[in-house]
Amino acid sequence: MEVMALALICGLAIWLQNYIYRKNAFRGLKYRCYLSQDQVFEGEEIELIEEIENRKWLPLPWFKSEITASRWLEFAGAQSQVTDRQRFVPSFFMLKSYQKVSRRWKVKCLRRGEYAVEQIVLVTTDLLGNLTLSQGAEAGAKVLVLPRPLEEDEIRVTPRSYTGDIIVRRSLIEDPFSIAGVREYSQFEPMNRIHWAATAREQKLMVYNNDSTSRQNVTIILNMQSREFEQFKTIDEEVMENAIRVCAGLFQSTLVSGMPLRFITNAATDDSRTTIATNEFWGPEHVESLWQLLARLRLKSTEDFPIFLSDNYHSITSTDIVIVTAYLSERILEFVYRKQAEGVRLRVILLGEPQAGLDVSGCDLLQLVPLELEKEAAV
Amino acid sequence: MKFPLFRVLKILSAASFSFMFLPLLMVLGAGLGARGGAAFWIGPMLLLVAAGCVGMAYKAWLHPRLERSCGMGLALANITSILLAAGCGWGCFYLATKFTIPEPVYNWTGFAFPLAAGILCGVAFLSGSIVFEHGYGEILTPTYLAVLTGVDAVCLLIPWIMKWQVSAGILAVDYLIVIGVAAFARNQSNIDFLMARRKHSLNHLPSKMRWYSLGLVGGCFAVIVVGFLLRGQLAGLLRWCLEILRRGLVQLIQWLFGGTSETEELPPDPSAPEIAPPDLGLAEESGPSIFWTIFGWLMLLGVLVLIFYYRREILGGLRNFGRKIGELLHRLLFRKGRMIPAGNQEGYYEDDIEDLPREPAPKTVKKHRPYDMKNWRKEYRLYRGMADGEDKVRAGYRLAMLYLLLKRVPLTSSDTPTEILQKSEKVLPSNLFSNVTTAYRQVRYAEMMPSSQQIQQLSEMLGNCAAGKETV
Repeated sequence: MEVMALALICGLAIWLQNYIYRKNAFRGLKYRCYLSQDQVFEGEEIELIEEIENRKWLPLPWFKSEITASRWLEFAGAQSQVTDRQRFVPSFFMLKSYQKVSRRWKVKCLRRGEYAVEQIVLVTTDLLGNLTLSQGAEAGAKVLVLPRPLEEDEIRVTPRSYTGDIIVRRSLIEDPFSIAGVREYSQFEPMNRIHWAATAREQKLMVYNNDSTSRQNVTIILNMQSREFEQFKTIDEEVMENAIRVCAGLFQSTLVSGMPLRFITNAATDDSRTTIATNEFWGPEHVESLWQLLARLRLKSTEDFPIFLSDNYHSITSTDIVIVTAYLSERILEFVYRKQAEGVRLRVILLGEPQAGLDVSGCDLLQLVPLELEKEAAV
Repeated sequence: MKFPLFRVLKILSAASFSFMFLPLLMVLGAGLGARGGAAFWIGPMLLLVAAGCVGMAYKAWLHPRLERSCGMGLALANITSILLAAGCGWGCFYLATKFTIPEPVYNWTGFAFPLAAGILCGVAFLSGSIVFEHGYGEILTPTYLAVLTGVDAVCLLIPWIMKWQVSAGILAVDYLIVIGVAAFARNQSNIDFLMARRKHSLNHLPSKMRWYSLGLVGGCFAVIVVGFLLRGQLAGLLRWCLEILRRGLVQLIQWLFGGTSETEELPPDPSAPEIAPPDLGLAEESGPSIFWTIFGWLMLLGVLVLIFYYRREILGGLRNFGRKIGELLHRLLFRKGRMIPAGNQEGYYEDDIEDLPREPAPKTVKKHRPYDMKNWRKEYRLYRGMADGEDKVRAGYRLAMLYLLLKRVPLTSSDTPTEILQKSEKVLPSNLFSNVTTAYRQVRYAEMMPSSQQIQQLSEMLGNCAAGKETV
């Protein structure tokens, strides 16, 4: 009878632990998953923090959270499983009673874009493996990965722009607030232009030498078509990613001069067929908003680029224009020459080779070949 | 040096597998006349385990070497080894029985019992060599445990029917060992299974996780073992508690019914000490009284009413008492909250482990029931009790508004009585409600006294609403 009583007690103990775990495993359990920053540059490292609290007496010796995130958020190395678009990361915990575990994963943001932790599933078990319990947790931690401006050491510049004298535009009226230095009096200047201190020092009449200034602004145009006869989805994704990074670098360069900036492109941030044309503004906030825009850009052209240029021909009124494109065609060059004829300074940044037989002699062309692409081509 | 946990679990599991043959041997022994006590069967038990272990050793070391050298003769070597194990078993048992079995049964038992034991040793050897090829979690499976329980039950049933004497204590120990090893193995194999199911590497588990899990199972098992060892004492304690309870109940019933209870007819327990009758201030010779019987019932009823009336307070008090005991135990048993930095081997993450304070569980807030028809009818009953006048009209109009809201008419605080009248067309009879609205306007804005007809119309409309009749 002792054996039977023992068997009964063991069976009862097994059933009891099963029942306790089934009823209480997720009671008093609090799980939170978030990212340390909501905006970061491409290639930078942030932290993904998992916080789990077990506010009850029942310990959970084996606890797993399965995180599903974008594959472009690189973390957990060999512990993660990567598919075409997603990264699955299992995270194992040992939770004693009334214990909190905060886990910090080092996450590297590989590519620009808006990423989120898409799904989290919590799994636990009882002591003897009779029971496996799972439950979904609140996901939604987001990060916006801004494109990293292309740096000089990452590109090889092939000078294709014409050399020699460059026409410098000069206003007939000098700017009285912009002083370039002093020069000798030429008998035509009014009395209020005399620089008395310099006159005393030089022992001859010296006058202010004013600079010629004019209001400058720039429009940066990005062509999202990687090839001439390409429709909708971008074929050469890497080339266009580099084009976006070139644009990010151009935005950054305007920060120093404080030049008003406008950005237009034949792409969208969603699935619609609209194009983007921002307002003209300057300053760090504006540049940051443009970087955010670049981060969200889809690799899909919404309109044929030459048509897009001709549609926006009259709305582009800035003194400087920069076109960032992966190819050049006669129709694009037509736009370039027309704008140049109007006195607009226009520069074309080409990521790749110009078409054979295409006359680009009158075009201020800068050919960029990112070294990464060059290496890939060599392989 | 890292502890070879899996290897130890595998050896223990494979060794415990042989325990299944002990009850068979005990029944055979009992049938053949070898009816020793618990101490007698320790030797056979160890010999069976040893045969299983030798089987494992043969499979682990000797068999691979024989496989290389013997080639086709491997089957012969296997059979020879099994026969050898059986022979060894027979020899050991023969020697053992020679010194332990009484002389009168020596001749028959001395031959047949060692033979049966030798055969079972050979089987144990074979099973040891077979199960060693399995993983540690696949040896003591639930099926095996069910079979062992069944074999134990049968082996206890047969001697009971045949009136043979068998030591059940050694079988209980045997069973307990198997259950313990199976629990440990299953606990660890479950972790392996969960990891292998999604192809996770075992290196990703937190350090000491296996030992912690093993410790939890060990704790549960220790409770069962202690309970088993102290089963006599625990049964005595339980019996004592039940006896005290029984006496208390008898005392209470005697006190309530003045000694007329049927329980008095129970035979007196000779072992029980004499319990003095309760001193109620009555002369002993007074006997049962109808007054005290009624008084006792009333007292009991009063106590029950008081307990029911103060049930929340009593429960709250008990809960607080339990919480304080828990906090006291926690202060005694656990360290205060601390932060431990940890991480995994590859350095993918860092952990901060913190002990949380044992805060009392958040108090459950009693949810208010949403306003429904039941509440409305309650208010309507109050309305009916009101005296005719301005207040009754205003209260009645308010009830009509609430009725409209219950019927999901979209009223807003900015609605005028006219707008409300328009919105209520599909819910309330427009002719009646129009008169009610007029009466309300007169009372509310013109400070006019309502007529008895208007109040009657209002009451009629609300009465229809309360009765749930189709008002439109």
